[in-house]
Amino acid sequence: MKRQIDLNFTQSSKPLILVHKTMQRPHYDSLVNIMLSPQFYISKQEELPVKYLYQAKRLAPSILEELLDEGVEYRFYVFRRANGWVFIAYNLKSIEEFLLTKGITPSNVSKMSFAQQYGDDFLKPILLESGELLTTIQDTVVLLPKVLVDSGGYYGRFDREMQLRDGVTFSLNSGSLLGQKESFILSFIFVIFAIILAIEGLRYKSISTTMSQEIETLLSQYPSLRSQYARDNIAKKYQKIDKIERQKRDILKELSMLVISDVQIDSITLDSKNFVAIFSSKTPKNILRISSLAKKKNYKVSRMGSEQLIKVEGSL
Amino acid sequence: MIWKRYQNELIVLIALLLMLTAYFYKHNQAKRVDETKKEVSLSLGELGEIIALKNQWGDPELSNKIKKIEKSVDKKNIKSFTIKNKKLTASLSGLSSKEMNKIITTLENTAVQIINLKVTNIEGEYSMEFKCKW
Repeated sequence: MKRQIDLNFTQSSKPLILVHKTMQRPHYDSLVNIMLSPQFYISKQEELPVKYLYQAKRLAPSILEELLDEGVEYRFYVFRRANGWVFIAYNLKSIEEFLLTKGITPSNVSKMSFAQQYGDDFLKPILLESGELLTTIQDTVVLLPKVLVDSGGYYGRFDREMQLRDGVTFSLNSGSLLGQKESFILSFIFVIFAIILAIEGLRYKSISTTMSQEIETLLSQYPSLRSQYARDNIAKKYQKIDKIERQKRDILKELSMLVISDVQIDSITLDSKNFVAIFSSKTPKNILRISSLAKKKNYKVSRMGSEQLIKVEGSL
Repeated sequence: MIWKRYQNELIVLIALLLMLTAYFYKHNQAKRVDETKKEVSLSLGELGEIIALKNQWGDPELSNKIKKIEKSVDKKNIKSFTIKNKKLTASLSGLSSKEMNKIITTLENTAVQIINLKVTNIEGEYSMEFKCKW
């Protein structure tokens, strides 16, 4: 037996239909509220030392247990009455099936209430189409044959404009694929994942902000580099200088490596475009060696007038 | 009131949409981190190179550093040594090969632009003329 408690709802101005087994087909196309006769629910009044509604709702299944049929899915509704609590059990499926036979689709039902909730409105019996009377006897709304009640021929009238004070939401999701419990669990899981993912997203956001701030901090130390145009110009200027000057220094180092033993520098001339170096040695072997080393570096080598001089030249 | 009939599915759908939104938010932020990482890495590399080049070739202390050449040479060997508007014009003579090597090494290790350099050996003594700017 599934146990489910429905939520309360607020007042409504929609037409109210009294639902009983012998009722005629109503002619409403719009949303309606319904009030169930005792034919559609089981009720019991108990005086319990319970203070809050949620505590009473928990007790509903056990209070009504003896009155319920096995294998039928009941829902429960509880409300406070005088010194006690009224517990109501109803089978939503059978109510829905009955409503459909009367042309009332569940989607057109806005709110549902129980006649037991409005016992005072049935103190004067209401005569139904079947000849039965809906009336309140000892605080309980009951359906009785007309012959059992002596009303003196005076009957009450069911107020279709009655404002529902309280009741339950009709389970309009009865045709849904998911039950309340399943939908709650799924929604809970999705929301938890959403929170985790959102937190992770925020963490990533903070990382990228921190990284961007690193550049900002560096740029704040060098305000002249803030503009990309300025950066490009500065880079271009210094990269050109760096390249040429490194080349000049490399040449000077390579020329110094040609100064082997017994070899002297006669002259070196270096400018922005080319260089010329003249070496001298009394040993012809050294001259040949300089020539060989210089050629390896792709420098132009030439002997000068004297056999002791060798000229090495090249361009930057 | 169809939505009421399927309110359970609707609630689940809203929660699912919420989760998907959070997923795409996280995905976009993660993507942004990757992009920012690349951007920062490139920018830091570029900035680092520019700053290093600027510090090297635009060092305001270069004038003092180049003066070391003048101090390292005997005054009698200095024909001229003029620094004007971040430009040096020097003429030195009577240098030993060791002194000549030392001056060239100093020039090599100082981030100045060598406009020209002329070294001449006259009977075992070296004379040097050079112009630099920075």
